[in-house]
This record gives sequence, C-alpha cells and structure tokens, in this order.
Amino acid sequence: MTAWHTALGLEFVRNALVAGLLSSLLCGVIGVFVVAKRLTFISDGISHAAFAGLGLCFLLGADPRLGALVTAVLFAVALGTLGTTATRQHDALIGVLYAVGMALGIVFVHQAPGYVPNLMTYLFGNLLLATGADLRLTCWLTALVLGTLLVLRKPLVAVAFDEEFAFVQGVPVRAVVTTLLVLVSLTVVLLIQVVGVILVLALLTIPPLTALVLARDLGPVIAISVGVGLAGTTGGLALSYRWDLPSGPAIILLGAALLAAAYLVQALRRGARRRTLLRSHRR
Amino acid sequence: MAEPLVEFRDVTFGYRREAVVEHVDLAIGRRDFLALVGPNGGGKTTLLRLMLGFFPPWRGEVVRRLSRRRGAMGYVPQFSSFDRDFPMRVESLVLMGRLGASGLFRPYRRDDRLRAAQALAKLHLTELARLPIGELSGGEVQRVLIARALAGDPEILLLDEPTSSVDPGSREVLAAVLSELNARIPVVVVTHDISSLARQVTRVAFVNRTLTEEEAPERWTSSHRHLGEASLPAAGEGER
Repeated sequence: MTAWHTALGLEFVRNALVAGLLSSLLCGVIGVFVVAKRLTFISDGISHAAFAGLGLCFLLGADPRLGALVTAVLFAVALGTLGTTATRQHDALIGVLYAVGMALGIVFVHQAPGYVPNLMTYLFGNLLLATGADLRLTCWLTALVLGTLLVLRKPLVAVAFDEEFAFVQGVPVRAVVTTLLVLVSLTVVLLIQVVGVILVLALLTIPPLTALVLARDLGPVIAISVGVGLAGTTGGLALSYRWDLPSGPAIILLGAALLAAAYLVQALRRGARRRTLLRSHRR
Repeated sequence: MAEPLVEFRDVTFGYRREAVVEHVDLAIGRRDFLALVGPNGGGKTTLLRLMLGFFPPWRGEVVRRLSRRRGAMGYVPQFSSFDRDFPMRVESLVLMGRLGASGLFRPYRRDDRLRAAQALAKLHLTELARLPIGELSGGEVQRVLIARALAGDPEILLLDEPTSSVDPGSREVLAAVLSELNARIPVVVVTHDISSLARQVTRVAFVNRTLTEEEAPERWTSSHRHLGEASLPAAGEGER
C-alpha cells in the first residue's frame, strides 16, 4: 500500500494519471464515432499531415503547436467538404497526404537556422512528462469536444448511421461530417503532444472497438468505451509503476488484452445463442 | 385532375459526364402507386434520388408540391445503405424518422416516441422493438425501415428495392401496409420484381435512360415479370 501512496505523492505520477483519465474520457466518446464511421485512417492521415504546418511555423519562428493545429483543421475541413464516401475511396491519397506532410515538416525544420531541438518532443508527447499546462489544455479540449458532441448528438448519430436518410430529414450532412473531422483532428493533434501518437490512436480505437463487440446500443457502447479506456490507462500506469514497464505500451497492451477478452465473451455468447435458437425458432 | 405532387419536366441528369436519365417527364398524383422498373444502371434509383433532392438535375426541373417541413418525403433506402453492425435498437432506428420533425438539436418528445411506437405497431414490429438491428432478418429490417419512414408522417413514400431479400411472410405484411398507405399518399417503388406488388401497383414506368410509361400493369406483370432482371442491355455503368 505504501508504495502506491508514495507513487501518488509524486507530481508526475498524478499528472500522468489525470492526463490519462481525461484522454480516455475524450477518446472513449469520440472514438466510437471514429470507429463506427470508419474514420481511423483519415484521422491518422490528418494528424500526420499536420506536421507540415508544425515545420513551417518552426521555420517562421511561430508557435509550432499552432501551425500543427491550423493545418490539421484545414485538412479536416477539406476532407469533410469532399465527403466521407469520396474520401474513403481516395484511400491511397490519404496515404500520400500522410507522407508528404511528414516530409514537408522535416524539410521546413531542416531549413531553420541555428539549433534544431528534437522534433519528437513537439510531435510525440509522453504521458509521464505531462505538465500542469498540458492538463489544463486537455481539460479545455475535453470540455469543448464533449460539449459539441452533446449539442450535435441527434444529427451526428443520424449521419453516422445512414447519411442518405439524414439528408432526407434535413440534416446538413457535409457540415456535420466536417465538424466531426475537425473535432477528431483537434483531439489527435493536441493529445499527441500530451500522451504520444501511438497512445492517442490506441485510445481512439481499442476502447470503442471493445465496446462495439460487447454492447448493441449507442449509450452502453459509449459508457463501456470510456470505462475500458479508464481501466486501461489506470491499470496500465499501475503495471508500469509496479514492474517498471514503459507506460504507453503497458496501457496499450492492457487495452488489447481487454479487447481480446471481449471477443472471447462474444464468441461464447454466440455459441449460447445458437443453441437456444436451435431449440426454439423465432417466427 | 388535381395537380401532381411531384413532377419531372424534361429532366436530364447523370454522373461525371455521361447522362444516366434523359428527357424524363413524369407526374406523380396523389393516389398513384408507381413502380419504376428497368435494367440495372437504367436510372431507376437515380430518378428516386432526384425526387428526394440529393442533387439538382442538369436540365429540366423537378417540382415538388409538398409542405416544406422536414420528413415530408418518406424514404426507404436500399438494404445495403447502412451498416447493420451499428449499435442501435429497432426503436431508436424508428425514432430517427422523427429527427426532422422534432428539430435537429432538441431531444425527442413524448409525441415523437408515440408516433414511432405507432409506426412499429403498424408493421407488426412491437415485439422486436428492443432488439439490436443486427439480429433482425432481411424482411424484418425492411419493415423497420418502412416504419422509420412512416414515423415522420410523410406526404409521399419512396422505396428503393423494398422486396429484395424479403421472406414471403414479410412480403405480405409489406404489400398490405403499402396498399393501406396508398389510400392517403402516393407510393413510388423502385423494383426488379414487380410480381410481389402486382395487385397494389397502379402505374408502371419503364426506365432505361428514358422513361416509358406502360399502360396496363396487369398485362405487364403477367408476361414480363422479370423483364428488369437480365433481358435488357444496361444503359449506364452500374447502379447508383
């Protein structure tokens, strides 16, 4: 027990815990829409394209974070205006966007005179290095994204489920999709600097996927998704502290174990259902 | 005769550069039960989408004499237009038919839930209301989609291939409900297999780039019932 108390007494551990919890909450909710609407690759592409803006701002002496954010939002708006169906058809182009963004960023930074800091610190954060400022930023972001999702929930669910029907019901489909993409890119770009790129993508995909395997209604899916994220981050941090493992990978591997368990539960349930179906036929 | 509810005036439209439908004139009256038949890629679904206003025609115009409220057009999309693994229960899906009527940002009210429940009952789905959509049979899904369209209290109902992948039992429920609806509002069906709705259909239009109206549906349905499926060359490039 005392070991855990000592751990919680350390500021960096407390910060890591809070950053992890906020990120799980945020990613757990928005991730359900990312996974259900199959936007994972698009979000990934946008977040890496943002590197071009980061490099440009670095070269011009402006705040690189701002550059990354503006670029990501611009790409989100562009892809959203194009429409998700068209965007998914241009799968390979997103791969190009991804690579060109990274390349441009590196070239820009290389051209910058004087001392070049390790770019990785701008692009890839580390949960254990989260600062008070990072936490405040994450707090604001979480409030902004969740607030917008709450206001937009009806049109958003309709668009996520069936764009054509949503259109017939008077939903401005493109605008809703664009808003979703902008929220996702804000989330990814800002959280990358707090918890690291791999952990962001893990938190956006593993908990929602686990929830989609276990539950069949949107409310429970979101609840389980957030729950799995919270369990993964706290459990992963505990494992990391106890056995001196790197924190990000510990969180991801614990999440993957939860996902595997969910698949197992699903397989067992299906077996049981098939047996009952054989006994009594529904009309 | 009263003014038609939906009217196509010399409508031409296509995707990319190639016209899919050309010079289409069509008037849909208040009591019509219109079947759009024809080969794949002939433009049936495109006509339906023009009616719904998904895109403006290249030339000509589509006139709608419907009230401007959201949900005035009831739409039953093709089976494959959505992901059946999406986490949603039957009742939530049907409630979505009230989306426009209830306002995009306001929560659903009691009246919305009531109308959704009535639509479910009308299609004999009340028992399945709590089921996730992934567990339904093809016929049940089709009925759920119709219930969703009805929940919005539409002034015209447009259905895209409602009888494909439907078991005979559901087909009967479907035909009965559509016929009852047709007493109040026009029904437009895009279909390959007109035989399953032969008794309800009052007009048949053959769509293959242009539109030809057939006069006697009885004769049509008995001798050419599978005409749409294979016997004619396709005009466009695949169904849209």
